[in-house]
Amino acid sequence: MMCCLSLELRKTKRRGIWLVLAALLLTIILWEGNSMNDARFLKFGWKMMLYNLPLLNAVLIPTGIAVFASRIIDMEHKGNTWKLLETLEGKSELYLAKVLYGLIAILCFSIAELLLCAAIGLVAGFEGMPDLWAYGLFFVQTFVITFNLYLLQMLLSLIFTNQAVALCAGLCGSMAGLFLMYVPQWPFLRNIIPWGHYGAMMFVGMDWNKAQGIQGFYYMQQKNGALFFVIGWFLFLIIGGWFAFQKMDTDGFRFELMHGTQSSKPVTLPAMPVELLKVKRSPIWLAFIILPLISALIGTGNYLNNLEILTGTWHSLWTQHALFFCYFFMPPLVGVYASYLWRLEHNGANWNMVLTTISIWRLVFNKICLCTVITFFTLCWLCVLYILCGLSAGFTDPVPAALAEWLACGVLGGTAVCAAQCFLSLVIRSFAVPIGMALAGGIGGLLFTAKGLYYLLPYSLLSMGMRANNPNLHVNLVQFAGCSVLFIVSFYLLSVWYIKCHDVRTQA
Amino acid sequence: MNTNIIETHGLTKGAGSQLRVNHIDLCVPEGCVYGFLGPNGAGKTTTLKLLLGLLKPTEGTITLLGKKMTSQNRLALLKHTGSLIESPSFYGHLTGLENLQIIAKLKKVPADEITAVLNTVRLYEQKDKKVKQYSLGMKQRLGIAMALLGNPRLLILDEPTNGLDPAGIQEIREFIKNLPILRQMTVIVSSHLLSEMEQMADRVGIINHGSLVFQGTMAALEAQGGSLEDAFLKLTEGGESL
Repeated sequence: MMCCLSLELRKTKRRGIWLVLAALLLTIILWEGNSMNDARFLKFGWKMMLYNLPLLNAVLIPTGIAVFASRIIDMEHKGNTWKLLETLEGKSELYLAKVLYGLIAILCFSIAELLLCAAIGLVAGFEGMPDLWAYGLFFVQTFVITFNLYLLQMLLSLIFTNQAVALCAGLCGSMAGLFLMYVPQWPFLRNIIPWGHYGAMMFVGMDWNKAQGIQGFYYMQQKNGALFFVIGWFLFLIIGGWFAFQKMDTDGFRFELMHGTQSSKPVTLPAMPVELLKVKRSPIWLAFIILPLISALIGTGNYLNNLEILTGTWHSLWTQHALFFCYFFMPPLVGVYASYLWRLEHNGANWNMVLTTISIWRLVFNKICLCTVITFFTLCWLCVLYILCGLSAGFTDPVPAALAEWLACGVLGGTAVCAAQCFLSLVIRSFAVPIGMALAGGIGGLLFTAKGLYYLLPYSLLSMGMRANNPNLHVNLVQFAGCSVLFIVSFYLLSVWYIKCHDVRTQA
Repeated sequence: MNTNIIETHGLTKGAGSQLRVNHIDLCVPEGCVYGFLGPNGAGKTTTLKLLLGLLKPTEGTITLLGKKMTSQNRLALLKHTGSLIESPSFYGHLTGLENLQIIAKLKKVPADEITAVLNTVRLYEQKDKKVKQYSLGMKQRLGIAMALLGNPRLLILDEPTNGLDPAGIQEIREFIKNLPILRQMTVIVSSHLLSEMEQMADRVGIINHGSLVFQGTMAALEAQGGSLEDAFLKLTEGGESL
């Protein structure tokens, strides 16, 4: 077993796998450190940190772990090594080695998160000493829940060769887990999905009122049975993974339910553009439909449960629908679109074919265009759901006329994100890494917006355009449009330059 | 067979210990099957990629279809070429037909040509299967079909018989041999198998360690040694691969 484990370590050399976890940790710590820099919070800093961390974990870890698991499994798909490995080591050993590798990595990650949080507390000068039992409990929770997510993502990455499926599942789950933290009325929902466990197992509550703000934090006992669900998921995933590895044939899993019948129709040329033909039967359409749907359903539920605070009808509902979606989920979703579009060309010897049939300018233009079109429909779908949810909630005032402007600005800002992600996915051949970078970009966008510098990052242009955090916000449209166009043109030219100045590399 | 469809002068890729192609002067007459021979790792694929502009030469020039290839006219020249380099290019989640439709749209070729090439490579019955379900040989046939689309003047095939069964190999060899006569195409075909070239090629170029060590007719090659095999082994220092 130790031999198999050391082989796993050797195989992941130069794959930057540990960088994924390091980047995840850095983002959590920077965010946490940034949110704790108010002197008013020093007296209850240690408890406040335990209140904040599950939220950060719920937002960031699912996507980060999806990237991490994908990197470990996808290298076998790409290298077509399953059949080779099966002749050298048993399926059980291979499975256990992958599980053990993840377990060690997540253990290191959880320890590092704990230590860095303690360092933040000491540097910031939190009053008193931390409750060791509480931090110990938090460490165990983070480790176990994250390990469950790793097992789940590993299984998805194994079953679906196309990594878009696993990454979309991670994004959707992350979004559901985050939103369900704000809907305590539905504890069962938080328990049944593994992404909701960070929120379900929280044991620190906030003493808050509208007039005075945060008054303090307190420990609470969770009686929602989340522990049983965590154990249940662990057993299901570990056994399910074992079963999946045993059942897998040497070419991986095959899902061929929809196609393969002989057609007698005469051969014609379809009217749709080439790039659209290439994404036929693609799993990215699933994420396109599901992610805004989760945002809408849970956002509306949250709105209806907080009517005493959220009094602005349409505007309040908009923040519930768009805030988290635009900052944390839309950038990685655009990342999935861009990664998928470029992966089509990174596969096999496809670059040889593409670069002998189409001009580079046209190719990059087509990719950014298609990515923008899908982004446009995603944002339209978000708006349609918003209107439907508002009408279902019984709003009698008319739909805000500014919605069209939010959408238009959102699409323009979204195009800048598309151009940036297309460039990243062109240069970085990994499917998952640019998506992780998009998540970091979304968080960076939040920080830039908080500092009033939203126009310096494409990711914050998207959220600002959509007025995700404040529908009444005034945006300087000239500055907004100028910066968006500048980003679009810059990343377009960078992509063309990259292809022109580098020799073709294929996986053939 | 008077004009050259391809000419290269001092074509070089890499430098120092990384020299992959070393001052190659290729002359490929129009209307012939040109066999490009060499041991594994000799620089055949790199040279073919240079001819298609997929790699940037460190030095040297390429004249394709009578025009010096530049980054400006490269794609216009490649409209008259078909190629299969390294291994077939395809989108595995799409069917064979859908893959050909994509190439046909990019090359602006009418739909009936798709049926014709599918029949040529005997894939018509399998056209509605996803390519990831194809066998290695079927993928190779699809790659050849993609290269043939648009009836190009020049066909560049990099080890096209890889993965084919013996009957398929014989069929493809016959097919390639007849292309100059039946379709007025010029074919450059690379291989490390001398016997294959013997059956198909009018002229051969032999590359070893990145340098062109022979270029001429099969008869001229034979004149270099006792037999074709002896001549080849002599030129390639025993056919030692990298």
